[in-house]
Amino acid sequence: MLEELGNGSGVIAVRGLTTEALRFLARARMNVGEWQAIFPVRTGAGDDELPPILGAYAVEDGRVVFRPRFPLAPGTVYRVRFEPNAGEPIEAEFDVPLADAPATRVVAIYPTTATVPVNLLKMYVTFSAPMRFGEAYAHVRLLDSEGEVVPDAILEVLEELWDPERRRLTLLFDPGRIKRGLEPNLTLGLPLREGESYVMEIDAAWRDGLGRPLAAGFTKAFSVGDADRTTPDPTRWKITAPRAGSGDPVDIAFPEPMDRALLDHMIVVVGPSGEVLDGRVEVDAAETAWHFVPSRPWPAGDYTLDINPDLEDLAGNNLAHLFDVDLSQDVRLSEDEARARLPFTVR
Amino acid sequence: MIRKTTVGVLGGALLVGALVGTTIHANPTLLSTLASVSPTPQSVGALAFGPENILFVGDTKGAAVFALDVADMDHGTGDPVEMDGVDRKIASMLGINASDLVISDMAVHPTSQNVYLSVMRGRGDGAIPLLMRVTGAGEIAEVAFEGMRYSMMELANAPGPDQRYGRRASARQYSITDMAFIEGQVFVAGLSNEEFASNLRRIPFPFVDLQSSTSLQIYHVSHGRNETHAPVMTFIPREIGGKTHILAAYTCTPLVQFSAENLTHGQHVIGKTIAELGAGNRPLDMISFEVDHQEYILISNSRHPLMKVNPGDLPGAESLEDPTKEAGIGFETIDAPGIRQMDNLNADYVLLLQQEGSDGPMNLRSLKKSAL
Repeated sequence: MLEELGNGSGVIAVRGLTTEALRFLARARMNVGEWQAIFPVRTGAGDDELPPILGAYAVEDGRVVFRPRFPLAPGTVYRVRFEPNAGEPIEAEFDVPLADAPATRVVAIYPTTATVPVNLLKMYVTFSAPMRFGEAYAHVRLLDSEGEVVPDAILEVLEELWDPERRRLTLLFDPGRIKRGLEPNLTLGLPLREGESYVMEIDAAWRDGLGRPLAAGFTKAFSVGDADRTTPDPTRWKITAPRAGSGDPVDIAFPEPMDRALLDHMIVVVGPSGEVLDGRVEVDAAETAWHFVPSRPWPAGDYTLDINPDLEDLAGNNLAHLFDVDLSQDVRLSEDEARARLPFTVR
Repeated sequence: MIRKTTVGVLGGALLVGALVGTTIHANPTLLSTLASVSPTPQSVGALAFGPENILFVGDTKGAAVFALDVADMDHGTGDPVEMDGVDRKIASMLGINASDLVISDMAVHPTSQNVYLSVMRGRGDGAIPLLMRVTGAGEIAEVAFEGMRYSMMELANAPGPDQRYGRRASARQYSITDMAFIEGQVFVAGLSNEEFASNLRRIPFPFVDLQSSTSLQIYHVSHGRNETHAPVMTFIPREIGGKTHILAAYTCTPLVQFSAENLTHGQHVIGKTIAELGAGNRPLDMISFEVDHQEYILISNSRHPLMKVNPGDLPGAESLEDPTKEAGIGFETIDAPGIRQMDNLNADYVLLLQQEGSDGPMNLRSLKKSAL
């Protein structure tokens, strides 16, 4: 008879063979191809034309054992057949159950603001657990107010734009349609239309890193306002300094929502002696508020918020230049000119 | 993305001469530099064969390039290769459904003409990187990393102001979109995640940690402006006017030349856009080959047909700088739907990995070059 050894390891054994048969098999010194002919383990329920699973065969402890080259895949069906020259062939089908952890869900779609600029460049989708690579664009749709899919709005990038943990996907609106006067812009127009409402829809069939569908679909409704054609101006940001000795955050209030992902690391706090402070960044108020919670209470002194010029607003305008520039008036600041250093004092 | 044959793609006598000097098999000095055993890439992507048939493999997850000795001593027959459902067969051998197999890249071994596929077994976090080989006789086998000789170089993190911020190395994830071995260096085109900054790295081989990184800017005619954010999707080296150039294709689909001598460390280099191959499209692979002493460049695409470019048009190509004109050098189109991968198979054939429909089986097919 056939049995599976180990818990879901996929090690398959044939028990109950006569001592004579075992001795014969042990002495036959078969190569893998010969073993596969009498003891194939196959993927899936059907096709016998497909090659058997890679693995190693052995006669040991009174059994014939197959060890697959790779751990078997949860949710997949396998077929085993043992067909020695003499005697009845035996067959079995088995599968490996899917993991039992809580289902993965969509945590948020950024920007969270209800109204976005018509030249919105990016959206981010964040998940509660790592997701599977390679099927993102099949499960994300932009719908117009009639519920119709807006075609070609999201640029499909071969290397899907995931963060290293694969918990945040960047969706990029087609830059060629956003930049004015360009061929895709002229023929297709902007991906979004001012004054209209849309829904970004994610379906539940999107699989997570363990191969399981999402707990539920997710939608984010938003409406579309004016174009944003100004670079973020740090002189207009309001800084609230914490009190000395407290563990309170230093806060920045922006007059417009900023790019959520970039806010995590484009602003650093530099201490009185030039050191970069350790701490935790929090963002809320629809990405118009940034907070830095220090890992130790604030000593009194003069601090600086060092703003990387690559920080962007929702339209991809950064501190150095606009995303969509009138070529006749292309004003670009150098990296150093655009870098902002905002002082604050802890008392 | 695909291997670029080091010799085949370089039309110019100057460069061919230089490279042949390093590819003589009687003096295998580069193989002997592969001093480590049993590589453990975190992922496998772009493939490129280099001198002495060393296989370079891009590991996007580990942000590293591996140089492998695949120890393939076969000699190719020059015959076409045909195989139905190669993805189904490999998936079955690996114990997974075909939808859980990702074929990242394909490269043909220059001597054996065996087909190498970088594949990921699974799509989630537990995905296992593997190298598979399909022989001309139709045998499929794993090319085991266990016991294989190799060397490896991690990509340096982005140079510039971010470094003094003490940003985590993982904060900016690099993808390797394509690679080629050119004049003693591995050229690596890449894409960063959030900032979409396009750059081209050069790593000397044998690997020493003297990487140079150049950011790239192009004029994208159909996007009507200079771009620094889009990644090179596929490229080949070209000799144009006696100097090595990089001929690169971008998504949506500008074809751009960069002069290799300008690609120095820390520089920001502006390319010359010479054609727009059509919007809504991703270029997949670029190869060059000769038929009756006439050279051609072939570009495969996600949406558009195969495109055949005459390299004779490159030296005199006009620089496209006007957003309303999408002219540039001409090309012929060849209908071959569903191409996923493309490489030179041998002197007479181009090898394609072609998918039937949007999720049908993937087949290896050979196209006769003289019929293209």
